[in-house]
Amino acid sequence: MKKKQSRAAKTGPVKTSTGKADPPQTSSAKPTPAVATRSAFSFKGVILFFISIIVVFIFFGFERNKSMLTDRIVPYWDDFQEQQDKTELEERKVNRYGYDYMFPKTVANFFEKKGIAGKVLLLVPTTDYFKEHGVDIHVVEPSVFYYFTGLKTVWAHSPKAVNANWILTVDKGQLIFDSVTSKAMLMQKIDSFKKYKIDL
Amino acid sequence: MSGILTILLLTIFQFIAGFGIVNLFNIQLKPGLTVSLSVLLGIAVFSIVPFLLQLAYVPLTQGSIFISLLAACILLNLKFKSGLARLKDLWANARFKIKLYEVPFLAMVLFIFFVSAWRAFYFPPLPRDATSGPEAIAEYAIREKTMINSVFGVNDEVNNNVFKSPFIISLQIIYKYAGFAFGQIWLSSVVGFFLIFLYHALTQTVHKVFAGLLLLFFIMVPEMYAYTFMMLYDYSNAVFFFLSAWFLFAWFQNRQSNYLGMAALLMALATYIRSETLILGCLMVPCILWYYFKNKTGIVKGLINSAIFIVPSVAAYIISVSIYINVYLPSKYDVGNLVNKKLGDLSPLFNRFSEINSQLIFSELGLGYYGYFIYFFLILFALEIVFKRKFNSTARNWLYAVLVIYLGYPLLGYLLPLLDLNNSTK
Repeated sequence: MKKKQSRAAKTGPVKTSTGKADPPQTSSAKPTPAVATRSAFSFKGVILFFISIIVVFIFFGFERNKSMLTDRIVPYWDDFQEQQDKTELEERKVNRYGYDYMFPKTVANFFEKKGIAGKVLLLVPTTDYFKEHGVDIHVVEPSVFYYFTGLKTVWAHSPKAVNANWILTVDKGQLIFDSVTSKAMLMQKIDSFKKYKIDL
Repeated sequence: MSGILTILLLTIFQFIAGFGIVNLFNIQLKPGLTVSLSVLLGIAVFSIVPFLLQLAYVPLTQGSIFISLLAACILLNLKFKSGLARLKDLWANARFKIKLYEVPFLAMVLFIFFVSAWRAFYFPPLPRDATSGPEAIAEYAIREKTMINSVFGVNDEVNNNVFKSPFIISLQIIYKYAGFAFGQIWLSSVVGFFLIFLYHALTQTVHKVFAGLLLLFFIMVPEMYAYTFMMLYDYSNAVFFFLSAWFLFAWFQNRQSNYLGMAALLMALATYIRSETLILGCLMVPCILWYYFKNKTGIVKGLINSAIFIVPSVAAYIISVSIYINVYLPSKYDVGNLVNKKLGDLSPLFNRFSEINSQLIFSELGLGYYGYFIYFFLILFALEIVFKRKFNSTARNWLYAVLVIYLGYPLLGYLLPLLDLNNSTK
């Protein structure tokens, strides 16, 4: 009974300077003197401290929690210690995206060197095409390609593919860039690229 | 170091904006709850400002955005005198004392949070949902000074991410202009201040040792943890949905209409973040009606208050989806086409419900996604049933909220077939 009264005193309505009584559950209650003078290192507090430590150990003793800690969080901490001194933006992008980022950058670099990157709509085959031709990469979709590089690309499955003015193919493991010289050539490439499914 | 100062400065302004809302609604909470709620509301305000500028076709320059944010902070604090009095109250009641027995849990939570915040800061946004949509739009908005930019039309036929809420786009633009090349660190603010809110909310009901354990349980949910540094809509959406439910249930207890107003605002923000939330918001309405029915306080009043609760969410949906997508965006997106055409056939609903239980929750995959969290919940639930045999009204309300998610998710999948077990996008 005594315990209940003490709880009510802590959470009961109080008047504030705005003049409104607080609702019971959410009020900004002032501590009772007994609470205010209680030492943070009371006997009960120390016992609870040890209980907390034991509970934390038990918590991380469970297999899933343990593996989450050791396989994810601790490696993230190790990453942090390594990454503190490596703050260069491009390096961080390469670390995060890997080949998904490096491949579009390589492709865009070709057109940037020519000074025509802003005028290009490049017809790009999908991942399956590259894999079949011995290049083991994942090709990101055109919007991600554009985000990474500023170069506009298009897949053969898009109605806009007929507007492409450059084509990317692979020959003996090498990337080949061809400008579109005829509609027939473009349509033939679109048809051949369409055989490969889209993989986002 | 300048990055930390910038985060601090942005957080202070977010607090000012959010505190203005708390003051306008005359919400009285303990300091820990008030501060964390204010910052979360401030982040939401920040996420709306660039969107409003876009709706007015104002160029999204650094100047226009930061002046508008400042103006929002001022406008939301027009009740300056009462705000100041409340702030003094807050300060007078604030006690930054941590008990020794809180340390083990809070130290672990802080450590886990820190590595998450570092990853959010250090790495660029990873999920394809972001890089093919909101993040790409934000990046080009900086260059072209508009959200309606050259990203549209690149490959809309296989990508609906460009049509997602301006919530992430707006925050990314602000943080990129503030000097964070990858933006995204706002997510850590959402996570951090939500954890503070949750801890303080839990300590109102349970002992701090148990509250600490629950907080540790929560941050260690693998799927949720991934969303603390992977910039997507899910975590923020969950936060605002939870806050809405918290205020709704507080209103059931104190009957102060300002709490209902706050619940409505928070649900509207959750809907702004993810438009499907409107359905979950509607599923919360029976809870209000039941409350009035049970207390025999007039079903008409119940209907009016239900409308007060849900209308702001409907407005958020209309503005951010119906108007923004259909009137402003250059590419067409027919939301109606996404809705299940055979609503009379309920078998997909039951199938999805069954799949969620067998594949997503009670399975090896479920353990990988949610750890022991759901099992822990079920154990506590069973213990309550066996030993107490009765739930108090707050517990019943929260069980209803859990039910809304548990049944609402299959319902969403039934209404929107695109939303499968693992994806909500294409």
